[in-house]
Amino acid sequence: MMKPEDIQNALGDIGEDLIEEAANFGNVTKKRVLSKWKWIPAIAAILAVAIAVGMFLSPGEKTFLISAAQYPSASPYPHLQYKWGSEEYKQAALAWKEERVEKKRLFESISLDLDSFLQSTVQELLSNTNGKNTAYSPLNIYLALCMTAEITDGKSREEILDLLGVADIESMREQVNALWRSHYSNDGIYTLTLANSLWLNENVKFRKETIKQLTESYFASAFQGEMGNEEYTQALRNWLNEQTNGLLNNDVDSIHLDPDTILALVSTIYFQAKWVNKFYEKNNETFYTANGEVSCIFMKRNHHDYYYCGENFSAVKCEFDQINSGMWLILPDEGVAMESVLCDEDFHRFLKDPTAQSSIYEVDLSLPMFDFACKTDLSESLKNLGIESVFTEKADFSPLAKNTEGISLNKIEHNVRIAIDEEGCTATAYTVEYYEGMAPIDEKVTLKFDRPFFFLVTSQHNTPLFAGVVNDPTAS
Amino acid sequence: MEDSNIITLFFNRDEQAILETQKKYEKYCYSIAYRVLNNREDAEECVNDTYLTAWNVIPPQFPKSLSAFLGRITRNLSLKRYRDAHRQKRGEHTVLLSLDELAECIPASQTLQNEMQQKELSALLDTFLRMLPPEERNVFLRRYWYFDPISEIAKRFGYGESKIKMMLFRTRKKLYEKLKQEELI
Repeated sequence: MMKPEDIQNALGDIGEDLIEEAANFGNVTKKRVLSKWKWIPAIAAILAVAIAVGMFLSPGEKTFLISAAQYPSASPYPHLQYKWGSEEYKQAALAWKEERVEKKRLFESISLDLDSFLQSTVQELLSNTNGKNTAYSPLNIYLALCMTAEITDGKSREEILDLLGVADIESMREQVNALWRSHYSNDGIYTLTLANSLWLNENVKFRKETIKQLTESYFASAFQGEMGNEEYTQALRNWLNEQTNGLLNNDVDSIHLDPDTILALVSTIYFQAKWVNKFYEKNNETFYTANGEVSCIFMKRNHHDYYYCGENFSAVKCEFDQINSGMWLILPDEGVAMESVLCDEDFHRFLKDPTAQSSIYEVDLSLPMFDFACKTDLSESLKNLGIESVFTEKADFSPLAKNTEGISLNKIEHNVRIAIDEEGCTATAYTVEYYEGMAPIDEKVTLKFDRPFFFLVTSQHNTPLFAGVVNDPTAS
Repeated sequence: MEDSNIITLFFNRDEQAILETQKKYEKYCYSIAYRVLNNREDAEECVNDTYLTAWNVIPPQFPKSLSAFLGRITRNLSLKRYRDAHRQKRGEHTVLLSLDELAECIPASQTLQNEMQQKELSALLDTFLRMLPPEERNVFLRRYWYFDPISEIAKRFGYGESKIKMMLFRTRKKLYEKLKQEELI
């Protein structure tokens, strides 16, 4: 006898195009507003400037590059360049794959603890934001501090290594190099590029071995020129704009290499990735800031995503088109302040390995688009975190040059810009609903990020790249 | 990673294929399995079995659409597991509800003789679905291929539940006429 199951079974064998069409129909075709894949650009730059006090400076010569760092190569994503199945394609695919395997192997050899660094710094750098959007790049600051450790010694170096969680400079050197190479990616699909540079005062005799070490182990290109010279300053601005694709050009334009600067140490990170699952709808709604309401556009999607329900917050991961890499969005429960989440034990436990602690749920996600830049002077924060000596006259910069008496770290500026490519706002308060167990089909969570929230961008190796707090998505 | 690259990995017998498939399609397959099984552990097992099945059949098979190919495997595995577990009991579940609804297309005395007839039925359903207006076709497939609840379909298509029920009712009626016309019932 023909049974309903027969139709159910026979339906299983219909054309794949019909199955695919039904997978996307409705959500995409009917409500689609967006016309293309949306991208997330995020960049950060750090500028540490050491200034001489009481040193004799003699006139110097013109600026020029004295040693160029050789950046790691990145094989292009084969599909972008060659016809699938061709010999060139096969070769490119093999090279691309081998590179990924090598990067994974490299990363597995590293014992640097970026997660602990994130936990040490997140509360210090993101609390008390006074209603402003704030962000920082843990990886960028970590790498800049590694270089700072290289040019210091004694107590100055010890304090830095303590914060970085590293026992000695030799092992750190090797590991930073591996960290660098395992993350560097520019294959046309997923971009994570890092760059360092040193801007040296031409009137100071720097120790060549230290500069060589920084160039080789930390990929830092070295430039030497006349401090205070506009041309030299412009060369630094051009370098920064090049590494950050011009996204921080307003802040870059305000940078000056003053005549009494001994050395400027610069580190940048540029990141760009696309969502695996795109947002399909956007609506004008309301976002509730600490001081009132703002109107903005929310982007929406419904997918099975990693979700974690903490004691005081909910978290969801929006994945990028690169295995493991994603943006964690963390929403404090209603009535819970961001500051109390940032010092919450459960939150720190969660930060250690967010994915491992989460489960897959169907998530109805509403997220406001944001695009903001923020500039932070890290000096006070680093002092609070135990790095004090380098800011004083007692700082030990002996690896840098013969006579370094009186040199101290004058300022350490950190600039970040981060954007997700859709706008958002919300008209109603968020609700969190989840169902457990076997009973309902709708094991679903509804998350509306219509109040201040925290975000964390992680790399393909789950390294924390950017962390921040969005208090007002309309503020730039 | 693009589907074509993942398929290449399968053809090269590279276990990275499983990882890339998992990365891209785990949630899609899980959502299908969960709709059928309504149980997290069972759904996860079915998704894992999907990867293994894909590994065993690619090659020689070459999927035109990897998502549909994997979705089909997950659906078949999930239905089998569901039927094995629920032979003795019936309840208010989408799979069973959808069966009851599909029963409207078949008179009680009819039978499918063999595998050949099953294939003919698949071909007929394929043709039948292609003749439907896109919206009607996809509402039908969301209900009977993906086992979405009526409420979800209504939300997805931006209609009320009663309209969706009416659309499904009409499509089932058309299917009944088609089966009759082809002398399959």
